[in-house]
Amino acid sequence: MKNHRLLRMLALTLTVIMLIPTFATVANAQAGDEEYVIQLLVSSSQTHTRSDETSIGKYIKDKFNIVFEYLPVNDDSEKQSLMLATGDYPEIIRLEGGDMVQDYIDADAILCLDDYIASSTNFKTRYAEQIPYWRASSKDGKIYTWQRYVPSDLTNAPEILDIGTRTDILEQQAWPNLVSEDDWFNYLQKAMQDNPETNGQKTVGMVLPLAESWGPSLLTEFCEKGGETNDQGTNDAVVWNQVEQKWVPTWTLPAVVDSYRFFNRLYKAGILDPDCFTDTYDQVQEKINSGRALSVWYCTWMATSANATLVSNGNSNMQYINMPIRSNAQVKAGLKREIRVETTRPFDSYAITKNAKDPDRLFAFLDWALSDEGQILLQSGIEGKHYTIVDGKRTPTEEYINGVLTNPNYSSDEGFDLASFFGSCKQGDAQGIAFNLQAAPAYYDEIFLSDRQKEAYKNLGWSNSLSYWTDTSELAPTGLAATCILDPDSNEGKLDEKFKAWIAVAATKLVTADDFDATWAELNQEYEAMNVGTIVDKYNEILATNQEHYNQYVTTTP
Amino acid sequence: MTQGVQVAGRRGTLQKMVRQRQLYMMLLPALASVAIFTYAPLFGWWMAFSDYKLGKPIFDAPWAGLKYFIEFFTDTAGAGHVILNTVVMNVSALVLGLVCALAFAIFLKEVRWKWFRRFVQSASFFPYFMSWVIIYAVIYALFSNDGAVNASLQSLGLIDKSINILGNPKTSWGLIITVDVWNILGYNSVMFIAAIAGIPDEQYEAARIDGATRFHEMWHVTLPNLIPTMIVLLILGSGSIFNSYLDQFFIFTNTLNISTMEVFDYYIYRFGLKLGNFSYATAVGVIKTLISLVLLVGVNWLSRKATDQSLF
Amino acid sequence: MKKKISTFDVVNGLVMLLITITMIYPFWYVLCYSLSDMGLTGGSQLLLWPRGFSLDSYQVAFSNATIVHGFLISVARSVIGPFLMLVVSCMAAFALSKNDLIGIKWIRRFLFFSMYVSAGLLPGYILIRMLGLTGTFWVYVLPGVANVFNIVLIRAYIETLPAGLEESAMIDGATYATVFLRIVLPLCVPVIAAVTLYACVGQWNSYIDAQLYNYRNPELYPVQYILYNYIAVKAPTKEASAAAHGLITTAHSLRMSVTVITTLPILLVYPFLQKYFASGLLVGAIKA
Repeated sequence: MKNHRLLRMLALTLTVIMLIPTFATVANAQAGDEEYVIQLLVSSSQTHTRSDETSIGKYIKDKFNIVFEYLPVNDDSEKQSLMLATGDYPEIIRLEGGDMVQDYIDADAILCLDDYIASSTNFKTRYAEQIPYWRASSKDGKIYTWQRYVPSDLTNAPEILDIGTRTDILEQQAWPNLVSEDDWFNYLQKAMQDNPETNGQKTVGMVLPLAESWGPSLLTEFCEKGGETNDQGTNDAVVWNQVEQKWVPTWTLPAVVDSYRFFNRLYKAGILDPDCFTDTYDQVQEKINSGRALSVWYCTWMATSANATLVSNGNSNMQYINMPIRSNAQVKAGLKREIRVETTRPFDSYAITKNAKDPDRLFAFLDWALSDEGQILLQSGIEGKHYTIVDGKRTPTEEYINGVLTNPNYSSDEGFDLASFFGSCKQGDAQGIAFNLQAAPAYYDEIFLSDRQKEAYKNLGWSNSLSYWTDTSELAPTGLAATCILDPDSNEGKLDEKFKAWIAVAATKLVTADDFDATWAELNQEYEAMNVGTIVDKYNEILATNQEHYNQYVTTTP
Repeated sequence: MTQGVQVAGRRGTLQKMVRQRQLYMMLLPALASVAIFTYAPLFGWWMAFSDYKLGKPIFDAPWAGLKYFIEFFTDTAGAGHVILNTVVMNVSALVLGLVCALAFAIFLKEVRWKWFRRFVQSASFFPYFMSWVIIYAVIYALFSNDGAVNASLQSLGLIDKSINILGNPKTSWGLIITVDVWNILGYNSVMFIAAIAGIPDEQYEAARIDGATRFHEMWHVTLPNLIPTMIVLLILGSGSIFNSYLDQFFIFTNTLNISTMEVFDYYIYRFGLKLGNFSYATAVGVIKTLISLVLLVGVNWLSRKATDQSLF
Repeated sequence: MKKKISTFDVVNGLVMLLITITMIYPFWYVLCYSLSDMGLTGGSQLLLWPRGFSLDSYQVAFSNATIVHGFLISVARSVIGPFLMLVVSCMAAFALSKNDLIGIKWIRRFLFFSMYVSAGLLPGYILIRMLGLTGTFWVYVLPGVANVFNIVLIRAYIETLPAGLEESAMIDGATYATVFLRIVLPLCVPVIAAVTLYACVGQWNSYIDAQLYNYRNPELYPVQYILYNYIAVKAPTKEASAAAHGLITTAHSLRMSVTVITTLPILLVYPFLQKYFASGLLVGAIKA
């Protein structure tokens, strides 16, 4: 019967298909004998699956017989929670923030590093500044984690994100040195009039991705552009005053009010992209790539990636450069800008877990990685291939510069930043050249800037791409500020969440308001009703406690 | 099924069960699977009543009574509008979605050209495969302030200022409901089309003999045959009216429309789940399950009263 | 017997055409976008045709060698999963339709309520781990093997079948099993085809289970998970890498081509299954 034949065929096909999964699992090869393969979860891009496929990785394998296997896992806090709940964590884990770290400590999932540190060579010297802070913010004064991108000092060019704008527009207006909000307003207004269309599409004055979860915090950024405060990177109820070393409320800060007022001005004049409230990262990137955006607020890294596209399709004179902005009040006051430099970075904490097969070997390797030799290898590469010594100073080779310029994923291909747990310290060697040659001020411009960008800065009269900021800012180490973490389960923590939700909506109302002052007054009443002062007080309380602990530890040996 | 003779007493029931043993064997895999994969994890509900500590065994957690439930109710005390948003959007999308799918299936059957009918039906399935990121991208390209629709309407002189449907609290409900109905039309209609395929020709012949027009056929033959399926789908959908696809709402919710766009799951995600508080999240899960079950039983009962048809 | 083309036919046809356009247009947009040359900045906004022509996005998406293996895994789960599900669900649906089965009310409630019972992410994860299913292929197909939604649908369909059929067969001495296999099952082809379609699509599209349970096992990644990594994890820098090899693409464009790649196979399979559930494959002899 037809049915039976069909059934038989089906059964046959299914048997064949059922064999596929068995082949899949058999393919798992055995690792070498002494070779130590460590699985790492990587949420950034890696072009390889094993570290020894890269030149730096091969060097590590030859020297230590350690190889890393990369798993593309989005290791956000949800994943970290899940891994903890089931004991499924890898040997070395990245933990996002103090809360997560504390959960792991409480569950006995990560190793206490005190003994290792005491007998270490490089760990305790490299992190001499950090260790007291780490002890201060740890519940029992012991150290369980280390952090990435710290310590950080002047050998590395600071990251500054102000406004990216098209160089051809600057050229149109004879290379004005824009600084104040009025400067920018007039500049953009004229630019919109002179350039209603770009490449056949309607021009937009300023873009920013407000629909992203971190979007609303973009509207308060004046607080970091000049004056005593800087932005600690959260959309919080508080802002850090570096000069007075204390927390102050965000909403009432004059710079923040000025910030909203600036955007309101831009909105009313039709300069601010009306779609900005609903724009996600993708939509903004598209607008920048097409050159339609005359300027992009804060997210200057988006402009950098667009520049490559603009060059390749013959619009190279439209490339974007980063330029400063300050509020009118800040220009008048003429205070230095406090550029945030991280002393500690709890967001990127690393730990050795109980699942580590050979923790001693791991820590020994980490210790080596934290030496100058280790950091140079992992950030600058292999001598002769990526850099050479000229006059006693590390200098990038032709190959390196070419690679970085033509292949923006060169780093990953070569094995730089092989594994994020190596610290990636933002420091330099004895000669003051940064470990990461791309970040060294001496080479920064040479490697990163295109001809057009160099031309632009020259026409503006700048000696290098950062000269405005180096002249008008000072480095502000975060110190204790980064150790102040609100317990999300506390009353203040919950209020903070409500505040974040409230301010996102309030900001939108302010920017789109017909009468800015009246709207602000209305919203201010809502603000006061929420009693946000308790959050500010709590932060300062935590600050005081941590200060006390810090004073205890800073004198004791690590 | 009038099978055999009614035998009274327990001995009779047991005998009947033995006779029906094949049926029990057929049910076994399904029952076992559901027991293992759905009911067994309910041991996790202990977390809702205890202070669960991440990394420690679930049952080690100390008893916390109704603490997290109370917390949930106090948190959502001011969130009535969120519940309203959720219910309005979900109920409308459910009902409208099924009605449209039903109509679509009926009219599709009436299409004269077989190849066209196949083509239309295949096309109706396309939206189901789009991820929300993509759907949003397309809507954006068309309906944003600089999008194609606004641009053409403005150039035709029909409007002077662009209409923003993506960032307007008045349009949130309409937008989501329309998008949902559009998305699920093909998927829903598959069931109706299958049901139509099962309608015996004799019914149509009988109607035609009685002098029915095409519309009469649709109304008196096709439609009644689809009502059972419709009811089943409605009852099944009723339990889910508090659930929303988070990835859809992450993308469509923004600060301009949040007052009418924010749904229950989004609200809970922001205030409970994101803070890594598993006890709280589980308590919310318990409450949602209870509500869904109540709704399910209620709608099922209603259906039995109104149409004599029910799921259980 | 050819009938005249009435106004109704024309109007109906037009409305259907309109609906079809709204259904297809987004996919068409995605296709055009994925084929567009991202290096072009000029010209009008993309609406009906690709802007320029470039396969760069696809090249980038396929540059990962593991995609082929991922396809195999995806095909495997899209065939094995629905098959197992059908076996379990059809049997259960048949048994559920017997109103005189002892305990039927409770069995039904047991099954239906399970659809709305949710224990949460964590307990589910712990259970799967306890069962030893993490890191295996079977975690893709076993948990969903009793899909109550489908059981309900199939049962509803069975109940619309004329009761006389089964009765006469059983009086003739057939067992439940025979009635099920020889009579009921063949008549249920339309609903089975529909349900199979749902199941295949569901299996083909899913990646969350891979993300949760099999992330440590790259050899078990289905193609959707590999491509999801492009979107969520790798896209912003894959774009940078692509620029390196002379390929120009953007994260957005990559997403579009990924969508096309993962959707196309289903769209090809769909017409085959459509034949079964749409055209009423009812073999005669229904009437006693």
